[in-house]
Amino acid sequence: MSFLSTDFLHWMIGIVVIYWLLPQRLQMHFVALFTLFFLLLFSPVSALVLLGLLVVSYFTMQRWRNSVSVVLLVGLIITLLFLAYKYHLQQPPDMVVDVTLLLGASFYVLRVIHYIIESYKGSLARHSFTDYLHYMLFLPVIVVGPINRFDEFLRELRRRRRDGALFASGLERIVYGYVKVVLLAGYLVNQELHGYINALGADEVWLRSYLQCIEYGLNLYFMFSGYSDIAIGFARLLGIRIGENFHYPFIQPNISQFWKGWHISLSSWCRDYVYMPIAAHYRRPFVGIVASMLILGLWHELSARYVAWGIYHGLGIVAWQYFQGIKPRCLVSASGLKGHAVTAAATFITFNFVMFSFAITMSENLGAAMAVYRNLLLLGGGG
Amino acid sequence: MYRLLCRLLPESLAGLVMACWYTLLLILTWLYWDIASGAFRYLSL
Repeated sequence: MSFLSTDFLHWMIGIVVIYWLLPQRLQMHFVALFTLFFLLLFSPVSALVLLGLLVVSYFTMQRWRNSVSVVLLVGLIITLLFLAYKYHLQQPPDMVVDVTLLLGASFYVLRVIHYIIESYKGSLARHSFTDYLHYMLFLPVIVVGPINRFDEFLRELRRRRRDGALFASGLERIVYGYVKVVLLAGYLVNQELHGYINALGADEVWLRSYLQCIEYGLNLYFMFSGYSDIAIGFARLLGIRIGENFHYPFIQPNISQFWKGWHISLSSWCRDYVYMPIAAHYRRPFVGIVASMLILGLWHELSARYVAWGIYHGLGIVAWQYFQGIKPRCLVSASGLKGHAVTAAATFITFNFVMFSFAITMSENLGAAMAVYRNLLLLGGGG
Repeated sequence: MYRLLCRLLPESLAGLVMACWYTLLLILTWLYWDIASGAFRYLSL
C-alpha cells in the first residue's frame, strides 16, 4: 500500500483513534497486532520472516548471550539470508515472484542485527519479549524506516502519555511530509522539472545530463524525507518520538556533514556496526570509511553500480579528511564575508559532488552511468 | 515558524497565520495529489 493513497490515510486515522480509546496497557499490543495484520495483508511472507527473526534473535540472546560463537553464527546466518534475498531481487523480473518481495525487510533486518549486537554488549535496559515485539512490529516505521534504536524506543514506551503538543507536532510533520512528496517531488520535480528537461534541445547534452542528476537527487530526497516525516509524524500521533532521518543534507559544507544529514538512521547504523569495529581493528579510518560506504551501497542493491557508488562516496570522504590536514591556513581562519564565501563554495562543491553520484544510481548499469559522466565532463559520445 | 511569528506578531495573530498556512498546504496537497500520483509513474527508482 502506498503512502500516496487515501486508503492509507483512512487506516492511519482509524489506528490513532482506536489507539487513544484503548487503556494504555493495551495500546502497543493493538499497534503490534495491526502491524502484523498489515504485513499479512500486503506481504504475508514478510510477516512470517519478521516473526521468525524476532523469535530467533530474542531467544538466542536470552539463552546464549555470552556465547560468542552462537551469536556470530546467528548474525552471520541472518546476514547471508539477507544477501541471498538481495541477490534474488536482482534476477530478471519474471523470475521474482511478487509473494517473495519482503515488505520492509531492508529495515527490520538491520533492527534485528542492532538488537543482537547491543544485547551481546549488554547495553540494553532490562526488557521483555513483549517490549521487543512492540519494537519490531511498530507500524509507522515498518515500511520505509527510520531504523530506530531499541533502547530509545524502550524509553519512549515507558514514558508514553497523552501529550497535546507532541500530537500537534505529529500532525504538522505529516502535513510537511505530504507537501514534500506531493508538491515538491510529485509536482515540481517530476512534472515541471521533468517536462523542462524533456523539452531541451538534442544539442543541450550537458544541461540535460546535469539536470537529470538534479531531478533524480531532488526527487529521491523529497520523497524519502517526506515519507520519513510521515513516519515520524505518525509515531508522534501514537505518543512515540523517533529520531530524525534527514537534516538539510544538500546545504552541508562537506561530504562528511552530508552523510550526517542523509538517511541518518542508516548512516549511523553503518558508523556504529561497520566503521567503528573495522577502523578499530585495522587502526586505519580509511579502511573503515570505504567498508562502511560499500556496505551502505550493497544494502541498497547487490550490484556493480552500487559498489561503484559506495566507493565513490567512500573516496570522497577520505579525500575530504585528507584535505582537512593540508588545507591552507587562509581557509581555516576565514571569517566574516570571506568565511561565508568559503562556506558557500564548499556547499556548492559538496552539492555537485553528491548530485554527480546520482548519475550512477539513476542509470540502469555502469555503462549507462559512464555515458552520463562523459556528457557531464564534456567528453562527448555519451548519447 | 510559530516561534518566529510570535516574535513579530501578537500570539493570536501568529496562530491565525499558522492556521492559514496549514490550510493552504492541505489544499495544495489535495489539488496536486492526482498529478503527483501520475507523475511517479515516470520513475523507476
